[in-house]
Amino acid sequence: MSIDDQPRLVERVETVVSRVTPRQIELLFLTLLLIGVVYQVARGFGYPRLAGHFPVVVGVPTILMILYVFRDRFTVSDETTELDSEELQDRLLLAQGFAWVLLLFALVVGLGLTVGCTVFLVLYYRLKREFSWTRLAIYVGLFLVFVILVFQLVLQIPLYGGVFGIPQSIPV
Amino acid sequence: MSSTLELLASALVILFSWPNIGFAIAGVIIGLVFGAIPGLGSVISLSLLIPLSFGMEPTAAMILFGTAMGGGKFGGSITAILMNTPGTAGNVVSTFEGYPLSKKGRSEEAIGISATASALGALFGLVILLLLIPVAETIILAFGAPENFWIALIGIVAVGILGEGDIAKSLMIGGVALMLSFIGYSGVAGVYRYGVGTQYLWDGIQLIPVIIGLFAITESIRLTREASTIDQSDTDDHSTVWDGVVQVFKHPIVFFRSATIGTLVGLIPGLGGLIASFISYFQAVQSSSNPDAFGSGVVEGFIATEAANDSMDGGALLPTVTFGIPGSPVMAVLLGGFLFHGLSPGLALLTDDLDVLLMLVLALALSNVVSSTIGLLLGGKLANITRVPVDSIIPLILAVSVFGVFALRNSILDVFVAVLFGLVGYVLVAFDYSRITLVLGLILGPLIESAFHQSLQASGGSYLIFFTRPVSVGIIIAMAVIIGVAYNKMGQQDISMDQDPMDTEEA
Repeated sequence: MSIDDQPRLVERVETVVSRVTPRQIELLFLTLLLIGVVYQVARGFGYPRLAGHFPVVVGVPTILMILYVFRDRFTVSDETTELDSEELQDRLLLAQGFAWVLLLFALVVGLGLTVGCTVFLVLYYRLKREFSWTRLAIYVGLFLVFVILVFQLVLQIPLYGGVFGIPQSIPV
Repeated sequence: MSSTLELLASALVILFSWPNIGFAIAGVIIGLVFGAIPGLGSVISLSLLIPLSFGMEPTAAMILFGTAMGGGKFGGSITAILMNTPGTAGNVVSTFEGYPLSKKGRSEEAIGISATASALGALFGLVILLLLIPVAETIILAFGAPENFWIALIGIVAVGILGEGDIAKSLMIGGVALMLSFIGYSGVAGVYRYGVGTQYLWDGIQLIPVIIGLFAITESIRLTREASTIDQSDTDDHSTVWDGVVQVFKHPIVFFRSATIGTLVGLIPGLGGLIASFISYFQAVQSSSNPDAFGSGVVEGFIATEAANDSMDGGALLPTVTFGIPGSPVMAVLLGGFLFHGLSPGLALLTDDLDVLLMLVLALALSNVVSSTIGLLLGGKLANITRVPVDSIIPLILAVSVFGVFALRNSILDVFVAVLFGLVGYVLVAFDYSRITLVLGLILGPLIESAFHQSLQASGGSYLIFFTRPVSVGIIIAMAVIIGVAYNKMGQQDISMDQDPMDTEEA
């Protein structure tokens, strides 16, 4: 089983990644930065002098620099040519990378630290690498041994149980 | 001096006796493991060891602490070299040249360089420490709040100008990073700033989740896209760790200059290994005949970072033991260890308890030698990681990073921050913004602000204090030189673009 066995999903993702251009992403990024810094400067005026003075002193030239970079990128013409298959494949790989990271976070939040990471490893190695169950068991087993040793026994950290409060400690 | 030498000799005998040598070996192993795991590092290993050392003799405790510290530095270098994932904040700069060396199939050589430069750098720093103890007070008191302000500011400007990425974009990111550093409770003003209704940001944006996000997670995303293995060289003829050892001896000037910079920077409280490595690295860039090659696996650059990062401990110990002012975060925890065992920094530590201090120095020296030896012996095996398909490594890096981040404060929100900065980090890399400037701004922002306010308080509100002290003037001149270099560099970039109008840049 692999992601490539889901043609409709792949087609949808291809449509999205081919429409979004790098320039759009960068402009969005700069816009978010600008909003954030402007907010901080505006709030800075509302704080007592000792608290707000320095953020305003730093924030104003930062806003100017963001605007400079924004203008510089805004004047660059956007890509209009069709993506070739290599570029599309490249973007799909990138989208996959982002998706795996977000999936890991979602699993940790939902299932807890140990269970979430274990499920993540199983999904990754089965879907992406198509490991055999034996090889998968070895990798996941070694990971769990490491986690138990370092985080459970040595550091004795109360591991996050996720929104469902699933027990994470493994009886040793 | 002769009594110091006698104490040193007897400390050496005690160090190699049982069970002290056992503590030393345990400390090295703990340090290596904690240093290699992103998010952990010497601060956490020491924090754990201090309560565990209850009931131990102070000398035995210092052996354990010192060896854990030494092992931690080298452990962090290993992951920085092999996976572009700095194990500790101080190893961020190790990724600049160490990881590109791995991609060229020279990971064993990089480990050899790191092991050698680190061990020798640490020894250098400790020797300087011993020699500087008589003049410690004068050196440390020469750096006040105005000097700290300029040093921190020059750090951000220098990295933004001389480091990776487009200059304007990098300086912009530096400003953004400073703004991010203002989030949280301000001790100067007694105000909780930019909390957006949550108590999570009371302590500000935590550095370690940001670093893990920007490096471990971003790198994992990059690897899914860019390579089948970290080692992208075509040849089976790989250099060995011993080639790395030889490289350090082939560049004595780079080594000694960097070790000196590291030791001196370590003397300045609050700066730490990251700044020492940065300054040393950029000095290597400036003095090179081929500065444009840096970032592609240049040996001199790597020697500079490793030597400075480890020699820094010797310098950082000085304000810690002399004044009780920790020279770095690790030293702050170590200070806690001193107090835990009834040792007070200051005159007593330099006179009545000098034997304990010397034991710590020897333990640091021993740990660096031992951990480097382990690195040299195992370097070949460790380097095989770079030849494993990255698809097999990526999920493990991600999972261990998540655990490491969570372990900091038992907070899932720290994991969220790491993931967020992991995604942002990829955007930064893709569009030629400097991740390093972002990290540096976060670290130095609080220092810059507090130094700014302290200076104004000391001068009664007069800004002249920033421009009238001799050391400050020297630092300002250095900054002017760096800006001049940048102006020249930007001009050359414009000229080359004018000459090739058909060249286009890809994101």
